Amino acid sequence: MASIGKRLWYLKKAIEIGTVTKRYPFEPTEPPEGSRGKPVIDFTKCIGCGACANVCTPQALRFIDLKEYKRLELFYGRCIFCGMCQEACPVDAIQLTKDFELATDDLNDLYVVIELKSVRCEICNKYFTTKRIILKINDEVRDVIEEIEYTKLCPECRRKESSTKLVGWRALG
Amino acid sequence: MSEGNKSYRIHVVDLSTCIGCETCQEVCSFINNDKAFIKVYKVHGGIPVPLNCRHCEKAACMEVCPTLAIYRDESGAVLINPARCIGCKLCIMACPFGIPEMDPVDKVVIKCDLCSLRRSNGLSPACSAMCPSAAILYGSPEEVLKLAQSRVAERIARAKVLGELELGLKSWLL
Repeated sequence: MASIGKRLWYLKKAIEIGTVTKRYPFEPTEPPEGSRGKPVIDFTKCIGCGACANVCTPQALRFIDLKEYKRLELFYGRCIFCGMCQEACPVDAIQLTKDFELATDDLNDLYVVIELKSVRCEICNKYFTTKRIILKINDEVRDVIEEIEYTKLCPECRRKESSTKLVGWRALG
Repeated sequence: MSEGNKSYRIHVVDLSTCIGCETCQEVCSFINNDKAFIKVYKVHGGIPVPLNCRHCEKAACMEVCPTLAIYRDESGAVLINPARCIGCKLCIMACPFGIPEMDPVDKVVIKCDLCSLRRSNGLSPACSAMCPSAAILYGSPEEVLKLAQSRVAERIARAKVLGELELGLKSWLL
């Protein structure tokens, strides 16, 4: 007989609290604090270093060398929202958002492609890195090294040039 | 930073003594899994220059590294901590000598660490230990300077002797 009293107590409680569930797909919902959704790349900041593609565990981010361009390709279909790319990015161009609803009827919607212009080595004429990396290096190295002409050369040509210069300095004294 | 630090060591390549035998390159690739960090370049049509990381006093790679993975140890060598490296290759592009290289398997940057494992056991780097003509010197600045001075003095003395002989030799050995 006590169960009727208990049931009434439950009923009273339910009326007091009201509805707590949401009609989710039809009503927008705010994910809780700290939840991880799809990463978004700020293409104005990206320098095309490829660090994100190195750490991407499911290979959702791929870094492709197209000679004239360096292409960074992000496929959300493979992304597991681990946030490794955000951790690795040296210029904070990748930020995770809370957006986790990626369902679409077109596969192309899940691709993000960034293409960055490459620069040529002045001696061997090969494409070796993106223009943005060289600009960033020029900016940061200026405090340490006065002559920054060497940034126009690829690493292999820098080795040859510097070894030639080392011998030149020796011959002078 | 060299003053007052007793563990400070320098690595000097004596180009006039180097015979270009590439022993340093071979021994370096032997102890570093087939990856030579010291390479002998032939410039001006044959003068050998063994080129390795210069361990610069003002290192550009240290300056640009976004994760502070590149640091300087107590003996003055510039090392890379592979656990912190994200493989962004900024150091490769910042190095005036083009020294750091990408490890395609581990996706981290590797370079000459002056044989940190050998040094921790009290040995000198493999290139300087194996050089048959003692062209690669490693030691405290005072030691190396003394050796270099004695070599220069010897060379001047030989040149003087040759100059005094004036024999019109066709073949000279300095």
